[in-house]
Amino acid sequence: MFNSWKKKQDDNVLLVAFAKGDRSAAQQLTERLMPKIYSHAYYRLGNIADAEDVTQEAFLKLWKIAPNWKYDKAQVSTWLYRVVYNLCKDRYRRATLENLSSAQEVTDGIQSPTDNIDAQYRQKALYDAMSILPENQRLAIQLRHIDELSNPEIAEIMELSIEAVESLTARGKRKLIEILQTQKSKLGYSDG
Amino acid sequence: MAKNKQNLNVWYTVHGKGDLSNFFDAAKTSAPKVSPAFKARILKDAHKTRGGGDAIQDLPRLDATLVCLKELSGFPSVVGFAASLAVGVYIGFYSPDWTQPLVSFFQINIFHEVDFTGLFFGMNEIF
Repeated sequence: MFNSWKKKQDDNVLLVAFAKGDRSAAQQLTERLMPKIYSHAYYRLGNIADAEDVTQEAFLKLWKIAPNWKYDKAQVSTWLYRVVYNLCKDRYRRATLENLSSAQEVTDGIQSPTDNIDAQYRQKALYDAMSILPENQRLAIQLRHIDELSNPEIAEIMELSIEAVESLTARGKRKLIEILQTQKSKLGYSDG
Repeated sequence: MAKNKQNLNVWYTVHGKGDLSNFFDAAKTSAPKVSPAFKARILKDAHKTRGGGDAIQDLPRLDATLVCLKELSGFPSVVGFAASLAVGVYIGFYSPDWTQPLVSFFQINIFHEVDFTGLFFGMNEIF
């Protein structure tokens, strides 16, 4: 908890340092925040080109706002997620998650071929199921369980109460399980 | 109802974890990697916003090298450039005598003419 708070304070300090002309601050901020923001945009938009565009636009907004950044008002990462959320909403009303399954060649990180195939099936099944969910539930689940943000952070990004976020994620997960249950034979699991 | 719940439990705990963790873990591990060129673009924007500067010099050395390599149209063009640079340095430092290589090059063009009118069909060398 303390580490998470400290990290976010560090992000704010780095942004202020960047505004004051510290070149290395931009690099550190990019290294810390860009991978998460980029993968979030990728999961929402379903292709690398759009994810790069949205991430670049979000960071450009961040660099521009840096001189006027209110130190204690917002957290840099939450602010970036919020910008990406709006940019994605503007770009596509409905994320094209179907594209994710055809973009597997650019992904890696899983140990063995068998694990890899299992993981790919699971990932595709999850995204297919998530694409059926209402937008708010899908986003809440992505932020909570894939981007690993806390409920207060999600509440800030989605401009909802914490209780509303908890309710969205709980309902979303229940629905996901229902959807995935219908596909278990396709995924090679037997009944019983 | 109870049977359905049992089926779900069997399915979602098949790899030893409850809930949807396996699915979320699979999604997390499939995140695309950030390319050095993309990182350079982000940093370029940052430095443009703050009044110029070269973003490449802020990248780690390996990433900066890869970006430069890409800017120079890839590995073959860099090898060609390096080779011509090495020849240039060699010529500059050692100033080799080119007369011998030039003479040997022109000797290749010696024309051999067979004299059928001679007594022994001898060969005359004409340059």
